[in-house]
Amino acid sequence: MYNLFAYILYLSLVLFVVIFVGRFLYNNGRFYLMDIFNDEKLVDSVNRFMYAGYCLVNAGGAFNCLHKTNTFSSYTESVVYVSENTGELLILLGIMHFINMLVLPLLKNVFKSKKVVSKT
Amino acid sequence: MNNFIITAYSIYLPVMIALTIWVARTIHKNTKVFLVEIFPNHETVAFAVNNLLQMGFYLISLGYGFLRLRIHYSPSYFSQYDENASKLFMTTQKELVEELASKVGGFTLFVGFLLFFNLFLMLILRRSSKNSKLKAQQFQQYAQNIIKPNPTA
Repeated sequence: MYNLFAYILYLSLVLFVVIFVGRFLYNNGRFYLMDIFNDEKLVDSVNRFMYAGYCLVNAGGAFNCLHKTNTFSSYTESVVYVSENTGELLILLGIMHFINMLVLPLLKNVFKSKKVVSKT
Repeated sequence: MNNFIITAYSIYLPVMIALTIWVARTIHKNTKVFLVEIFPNHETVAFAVNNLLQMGFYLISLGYGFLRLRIHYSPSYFSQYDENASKLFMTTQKELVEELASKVGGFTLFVGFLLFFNLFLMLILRRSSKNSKLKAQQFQQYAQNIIKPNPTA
């Protein structure tokens, strides 16, 4: 009973956090991507791709590492469980976000086509 | 004793199929822009490739989902002292949620990685097709210069 409460609270919290953080990044990352690709249509589709991928990977990861525990006997234990696991997830999300922000500018050169060297 | 394995299956299957359809539609909508750039002046080819990619995605993702369906009892270190451990498997809602979360989560992770793989593939193909176009242009310029040398020179 207490376990079920903790699990359902954790899973719904995870979904909420992932979807809303994703929305936030979707709205703000657009300008970041504009800098890389300079093409409205392409940026929109890359952005939507990234949003879907982000939601899938993070929600999947969080669902996948739901820790199996022994049965709880009170609500305090379940609240502690939920807070510990959510904290872990939030820290992971933050680290991934910064890695993403560091890597995208580095990938800039990979995705851009080479410049034309005019031989005249 | 009544257990929750069938309940787990009947929740997992619709979720898995719905997720596959949603992701496949997202890919179908957003890959079009890339493919039109990759195959310039060949819109029919681009749309055909798009449909083929979607079909492939459906096959791979549904196949993986069905392959991972089975929920089986995995004995732990402590269960060797308990004879009823295998009989008591999946008889509480706690275990149902745990098992379902790991199943759905694993499948979602797989689909997410497929999506990112598709995105990177498209970005790299687009880059290489642009490069080859540039090379062709340069070659044409070069050839024209050879055939018609500058008369004033």
